[in-house]
Amino acid sequence: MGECHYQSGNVMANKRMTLLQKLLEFSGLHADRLRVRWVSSAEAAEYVREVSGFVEDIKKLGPNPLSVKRAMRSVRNEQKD
Amino acid sequence: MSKKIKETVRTLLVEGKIRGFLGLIERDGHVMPHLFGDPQELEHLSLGDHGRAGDARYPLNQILIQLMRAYPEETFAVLVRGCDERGLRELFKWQQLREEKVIPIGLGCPEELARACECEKPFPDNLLDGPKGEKVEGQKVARVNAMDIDARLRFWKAEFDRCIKCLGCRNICPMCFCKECTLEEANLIDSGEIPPANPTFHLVRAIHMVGRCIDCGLCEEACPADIPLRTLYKKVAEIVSEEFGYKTGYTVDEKSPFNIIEVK
Ligand code: SF4
Ligand code: SF4
Repeated sequence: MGECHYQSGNVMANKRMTLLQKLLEFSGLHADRLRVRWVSSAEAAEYVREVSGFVEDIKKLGPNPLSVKRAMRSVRNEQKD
Repeated sequence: MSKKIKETVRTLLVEGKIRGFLGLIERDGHVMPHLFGDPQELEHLSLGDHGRAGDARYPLNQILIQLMRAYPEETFAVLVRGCDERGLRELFKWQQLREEKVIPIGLGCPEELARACECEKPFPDNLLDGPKGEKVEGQKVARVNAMDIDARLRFWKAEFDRCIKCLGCRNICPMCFCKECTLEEANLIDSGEIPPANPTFHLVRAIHMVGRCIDCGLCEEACPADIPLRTLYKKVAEIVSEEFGYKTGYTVDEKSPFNIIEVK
């Protein structure tokens, strides 16, 4: 922490992330849908691991319940029935 | 009950200690903000209780900011309840008001109002008149906390989707003083869309209120769609207090964790 191009930028960002995660949870969205990790530009493998891990976890949570496209699809399906 | 307040303000005015007293006046059956410059007018002073306790409150600190921008060298007195005093403290820290130019005239809130507000501290430290009431344990946030996550989503979606994006919550807020507002930034919030993208719209405002919201509840009173905004901002306050140990408006020297840069 703190070893940021913007000096303490990541410290500040991290505070906001904590708050936002708690607030998402309160609003009915899983906090795990939001993740923050700090990876240096020299750590490609680490970066890939983080992103792949996140994709896997988010798939387990399923589609975003607020997705507009999904809502429209279900409306269309209802109309067809 | 306003006798003490009237006497104190009268003395300040007569002795020339203040340019004016920003309070409330009752005229033709209406309560409204008023800048008292003449002690004679004090006979029409109102403390914001019209039909019920505290049902005619206004964001006086917001008006005070405008006043002090226009008359930076003058000193004004202002009517404050517990929440307004917390607001003054933060506005001093945010350099929107100068402490040495403001004289708070403190009014404690009756139990009935403190209950309706679920108020943590229904009186100012600078208490001149009114009761020094007890803290009220909140139910609003606890009720939402107790729902399961899907129920919370349904609850907030139904509430937020009534939003007509009038920006009344922002406009009434005594702690919203930015010249440019994210809520009107077309690159971030789509314009011409009702309801606005939710929960984004309301969460953006909630996050911007960290270290500012002093839980006066005026936003919720102003909302024409009856969205329980206060519950949302009370939750923000709960998180900021639990995670960062900061309580907005309770101290004079400490700054909000989102305003101080510290590297651990
Ligand atoms: S929040 Fe309500 S009870 Fe508390 S000080 Fe303000 S008006 Fe009074
Ligand atoms: S309760 Fe609402 S109006 Fe009052 S300070 Fe907080 S956000 Fe602003």
